[in-house]
Amino acid sequence: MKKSLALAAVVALVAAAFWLGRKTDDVRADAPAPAPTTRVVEPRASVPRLPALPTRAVARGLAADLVAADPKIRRAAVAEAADPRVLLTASRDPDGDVARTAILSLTKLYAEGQVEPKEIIAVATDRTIPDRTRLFAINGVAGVASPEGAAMLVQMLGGTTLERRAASVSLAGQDPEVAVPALITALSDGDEYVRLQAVDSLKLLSRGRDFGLDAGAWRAWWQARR
Amino acid sequence: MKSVVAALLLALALPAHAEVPQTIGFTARLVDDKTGDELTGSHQLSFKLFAAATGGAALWTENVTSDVEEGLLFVDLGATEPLTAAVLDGRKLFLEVTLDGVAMDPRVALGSVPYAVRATEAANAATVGGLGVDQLQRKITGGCNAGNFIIGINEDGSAACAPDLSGSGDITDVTAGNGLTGGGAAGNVTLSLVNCGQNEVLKFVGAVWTCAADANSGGDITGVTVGGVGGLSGGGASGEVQLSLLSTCASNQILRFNGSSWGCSNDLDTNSGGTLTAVTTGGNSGLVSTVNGSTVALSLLTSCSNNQVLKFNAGTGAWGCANDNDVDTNSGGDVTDVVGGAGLAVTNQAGPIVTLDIGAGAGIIVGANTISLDTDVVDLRVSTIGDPRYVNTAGDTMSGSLDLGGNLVTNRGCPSGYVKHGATCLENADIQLSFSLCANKCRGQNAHICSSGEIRAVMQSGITIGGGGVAGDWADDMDSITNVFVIASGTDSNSWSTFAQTTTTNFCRCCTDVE
Repeated sequence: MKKSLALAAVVALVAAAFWLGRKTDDVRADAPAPAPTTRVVEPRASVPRLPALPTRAVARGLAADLVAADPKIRRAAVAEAADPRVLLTASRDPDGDVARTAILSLTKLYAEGQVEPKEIIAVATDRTIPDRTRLFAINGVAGVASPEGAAMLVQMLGGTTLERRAASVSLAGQDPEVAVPALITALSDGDEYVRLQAVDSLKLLSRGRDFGLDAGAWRAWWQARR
Repeated sequence: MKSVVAALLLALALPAHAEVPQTIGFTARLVDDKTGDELTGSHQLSFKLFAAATGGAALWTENVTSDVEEGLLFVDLGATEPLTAAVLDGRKLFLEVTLDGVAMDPRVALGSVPYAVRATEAANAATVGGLGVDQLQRKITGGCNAGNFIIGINEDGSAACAPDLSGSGDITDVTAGNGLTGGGAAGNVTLSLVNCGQNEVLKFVGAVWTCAADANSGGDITGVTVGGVGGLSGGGASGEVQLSLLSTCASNQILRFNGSSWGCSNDLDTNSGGTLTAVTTGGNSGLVSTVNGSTVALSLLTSCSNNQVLKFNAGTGAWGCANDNDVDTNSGGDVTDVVGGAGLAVTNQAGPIVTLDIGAGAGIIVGANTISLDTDVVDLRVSTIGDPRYVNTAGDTMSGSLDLGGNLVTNRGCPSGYVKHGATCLENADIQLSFSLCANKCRGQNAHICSSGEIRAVMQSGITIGGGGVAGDWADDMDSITNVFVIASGTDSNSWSTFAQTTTTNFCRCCTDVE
């Protein structure tokens, strides 16, 4: 029985690599095919480590469905998959729906401590992934307060428009010691929505205070509070 | 070893010519100090000059073998070893004489005599009396031939000569005449033109030269030639020139331009200079003429009856009197009344200018160039909200048919930027925003964040959705519990959403109803 499980896992990994070689209109043609990871996932320090779960038995046919030509079948298969390695690979599926389904599952596992922060952050910061898909990974990281997530969002305030807009909102859910100074800086961002969202986030972190776009006033409040 | 007593005598040994001597005569009487005998025969002598009475290095040495007769020795020092200026440089020198290997003691101090050797240097003195070579003139030698005069001294002292250019005559005075200034009665004299004003010239006026304006200032005619189109003769390039019309024409010919040139031509205007002799009205011309002396008066026919007109008969080709068939039956008539119909008000009904105004009916606004309905008029017959532009079909019934003329009843569609999907207007683009800003944005457009039901309906319709599709868009389930969705699938309407946190950004797309 163990032999057949191991064989199925190998088949799934080889098939996943072949599956990533295909191309649809939802991914860049030059996006590199990621290599499947075999690392042991460590829980994040900020999330209590859950008891190690036994690897779920892969239902018969699931491995083949993960590499099915029909993206609907692949998406359904990914929705059933619970192995972070499979999901990390599927997060770069050429089909946006499949990739987003995988990322949503990864997000759930990340919140449960089953996925290492740097692994989901690698997806969230991979600019070869289309924005409309990558945003799911960014939101997944942002949904859990963690030093790694906060650091990623702060760095994103200097990134693309997508990253800056996401960070200006999502930092509201991170450690205020990190988020507030970064959000005050974002008040002078060139993008109007980044500025407005930074104000909203600061209002949330300050329990309703509103100094608008006045960075000096926000900075004064922050220093006085400290 | 024999002792020698020498009586020394130094003297300049002058050569035969008058040049400065280069040797010093040395004379001595040699005796044996023991026997007192005078020395004779050949002896080896060595002469050395030193800078000191004793010791030191020899500055000059000359070895001589000399015959001594009756004790007398004669030697020219410097004969074989020149006494140069470097040796005789002005210092006091001491001469040491060695006879047959025995040096005489003490050395003989030399006085000024040897320095006569340096007189050679005077021949090449750099200055004479403080004057340099370039300030001195060599001695003048020679003279000039007859008829020539010395006009200068050459560098070598010879005379530079030139013939007498004055000729045989003599000018005793140079007087400036008219137009000149300068002159004189002695020495070199200069004559020059008198000074004139700026751009003036000297002109000979009457009997004198005088300053005058240059009448031809700015240019000059250098030649006058007949143009290529002809008709002229004469011209020239100097002196006074004349141009004249061609003189080759025959009598009574004229100059005529044929389009390219002028030439002689007969005068074709044979009436030139004539008088009008007759004016013929011609038959059927409709004209008559009267002659009063040399004046001819033309007029239309005067034989017509009252109110007749002149008509041309194409059949006969003649003008003649005829009745005016186009009688203006309204001639003298006028509009006697203007009556305002429905909705028209009449001003100045009797004329002559009648004004009709629209606006007599209620609910009509008449502008300068427009007529519109008055929305302030509340007429519940057509609308329960008081706007006559709308017909409340739910509450009213129409008693007759509605005549819209050529117009059609159409659906008014979606706002700009929205696309109609069934009864829903869906924003054609989306933008990444927080849920809060998305709600504000949609409210600003009199719209709302698309509900899950609206988006599901649009997805199920299979219509292509703009702005990258709905995947990643916010959705509101619109129920009493505030659940916020974000759509994960852009294609599967049965598996398309998940719960989302409001502290994230997603794509904002607004919806509104079809107007």
